[in-house]
Amino acid sequence: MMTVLAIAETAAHATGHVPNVPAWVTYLFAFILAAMIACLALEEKIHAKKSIIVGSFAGLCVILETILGWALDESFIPFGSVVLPNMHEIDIPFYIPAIDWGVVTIILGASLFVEVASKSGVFSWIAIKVTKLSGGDPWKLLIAYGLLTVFFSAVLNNVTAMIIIGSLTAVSLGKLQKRDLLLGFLLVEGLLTNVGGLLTLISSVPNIIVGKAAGISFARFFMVAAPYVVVATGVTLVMGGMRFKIKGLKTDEEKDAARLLVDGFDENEGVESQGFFWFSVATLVAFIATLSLQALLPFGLDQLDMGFIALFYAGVMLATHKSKVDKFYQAVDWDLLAFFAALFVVINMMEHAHVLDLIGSGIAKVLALPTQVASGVLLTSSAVASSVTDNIPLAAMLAKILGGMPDVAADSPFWWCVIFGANLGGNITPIGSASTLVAMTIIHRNKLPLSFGGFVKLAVPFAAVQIVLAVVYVLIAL
Amino acid sequence: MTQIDEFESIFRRAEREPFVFAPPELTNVVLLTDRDRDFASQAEQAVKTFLPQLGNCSFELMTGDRFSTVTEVVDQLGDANPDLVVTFRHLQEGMLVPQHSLGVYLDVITQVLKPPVLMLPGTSAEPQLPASEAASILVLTDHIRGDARLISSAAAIAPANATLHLAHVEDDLVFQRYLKTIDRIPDIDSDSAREHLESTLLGDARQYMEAAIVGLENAAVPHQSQLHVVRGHRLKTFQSLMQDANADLCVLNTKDDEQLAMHGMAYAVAVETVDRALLLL
Repeated sequence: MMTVLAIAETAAHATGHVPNVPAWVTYLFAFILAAMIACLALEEKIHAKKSIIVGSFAGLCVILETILGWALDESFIPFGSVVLPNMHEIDIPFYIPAIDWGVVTIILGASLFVEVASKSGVFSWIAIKVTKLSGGDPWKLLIAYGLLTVFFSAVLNNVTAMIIIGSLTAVSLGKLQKRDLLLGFLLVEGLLTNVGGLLTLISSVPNIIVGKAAGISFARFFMVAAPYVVVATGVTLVMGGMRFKIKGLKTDEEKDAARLLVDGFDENEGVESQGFFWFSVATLVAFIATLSLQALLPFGLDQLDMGFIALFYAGVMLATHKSKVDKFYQAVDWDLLAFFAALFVVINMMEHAHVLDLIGSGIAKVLALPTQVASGVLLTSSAVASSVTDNIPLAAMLAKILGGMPDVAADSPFWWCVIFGANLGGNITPIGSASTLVAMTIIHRNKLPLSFGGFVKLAVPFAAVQIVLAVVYVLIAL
Repeated sequence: MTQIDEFESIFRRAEREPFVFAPPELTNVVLLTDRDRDFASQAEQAVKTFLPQLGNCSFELMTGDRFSTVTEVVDQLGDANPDLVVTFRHLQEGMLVPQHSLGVYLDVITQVLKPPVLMLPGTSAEPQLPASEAASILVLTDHIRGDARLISSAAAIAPANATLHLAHVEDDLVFQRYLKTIDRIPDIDSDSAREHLESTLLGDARQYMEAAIVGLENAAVPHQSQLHVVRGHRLKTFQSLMQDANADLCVLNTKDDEQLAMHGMAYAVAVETVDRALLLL
């Protein structure tokens, strides 16, 4: 469907008419875009959900472009029926093809899948088991939780990973009477969600958006990102241990006492049904395997996109609770999905108003520099931009812009610069990514004093090292 | 915030309170009576028959000629520093039938002094010395989770062939009050709250008791055990459990760090239960 809509064109565009957009219209919409990004950055202050902010701007853009088009006697917006590749015309609103339904379906399917799978207790089982394996030793616990954060960020999403690991950290450190280490643990885990979020194509939304635009497969994404994630995780853990003085236990008495406390956790507590537990494990493995080997699916099934795969597996899981699916539908983050839909409409409007061309011309100047310099500048500036605003609109815009540049090939390192920058920028400020926001929420929930400035002061050294490593990696390996 | 809360709840529910068997030291025992030495010796033998675990303890007999005021008793017990005090209700009060108190001596001793008190049935004037070994020991509390001291004390003092009954009684009146309040909060599903609160409160108690049984087995403490986890009106339910278990000895917590008076229900139980021995911790 997405491919069909992507190559569909309206009857108006089929005539080859490209509207003439005056410069002042472009600058007006550029201002509106900047205002939207500012509102997203101030989401907490203005007490409005993302979907309302972006939805309002989407509505404003549509109305404004329509009126301006009428006033200037130009059709900025491609009204009219959509012509499919088989020349069949269908009457759907112009903003429907503007929405990247592939992204929406991946997120919807993956979140439903995770929601149902988590009811089996599989994630809490893994988390508690890992806690017990650490023996309650703080250093081993940091490594265990750090690796688990990366793993969960990769296979679930970084927000869910932070929620699971952050909650368990608060409970387990409380039990071990090591609450003085809680801030360090939560901060390192928050940072690692964005590192782990680089591991797979579905780990974070910028990955999905940029990866799809660049045509990067699930398997290729993993092969490219994994070496960096391994190194960055190790460095972050070592830095975290040193910075927050998280050390191993020394005496046998301490070790025995800690082990007794963590052995008290019952990993089977959250497992209501062994059958469903193992079914969830098997389905999770099958889901990841299918995504990884999508290109090898037989019988023409390789043409079905990731969104379908995500929805399919979500359906498989939902079938196990067929009389209670409405509860899982309620748990879906509809604000996020509505946000995406509205965001794609806004980007589409910006495209019509040539705002993306304007930004693209600036980016083209950067990309015209020697490749090493261009990569470094693009990655770093993506990271900085991502740190102060939501990385999703940034990724969506840059994906659209790079996709429209004929000089940027599918295997260009610039795509990876945007991916790395959009993810790692989330580690600079607490508003840089949803998962670091969750980390801050858990920090404040546990009455640990950490301000915006405090977070930045602690996180910047980590983020700087991660970004430098990413630049080096892109220059050397890609 | 909802999902964070949900996962925190899952992990907190997975927390198990570990039970570590820590038997109290039982070396020196003071038997306190307002009668003469002959009676005290008789009482000592009866106690050693009743609880053979005290057979190897050294007994100091504090008889009626050694004290006449509460202060004197407290001072002498303080100097002796026993691991256990064995005594009777209504010392130096001549009550043939237990009245609505434990008597002035016990009222003070149970609160001021550290060692536990083993209160034998009857009164000092009309004692009911146990004639045989205790066959049934009942641990009674309204909050057993985490109370390793209570269980360890009962297990340490129980004869090898006795049945150890562990009982947790959740106060029904308090529970109903909370449920009525929840019924008035629209954001909380009342049916779900009722089901989960009850199962969690009682489940926690049962899990701890089961962990205690395993802990005692691992420590090679020989006895049989039975678990009782119920909701009810505490005094009536305590009494009903004593009847059902045919308890020879009941073990209770009595001290409250925040007040001078005996902890909550313990005093009522101690006053009402006159025909069984009570170990007051």
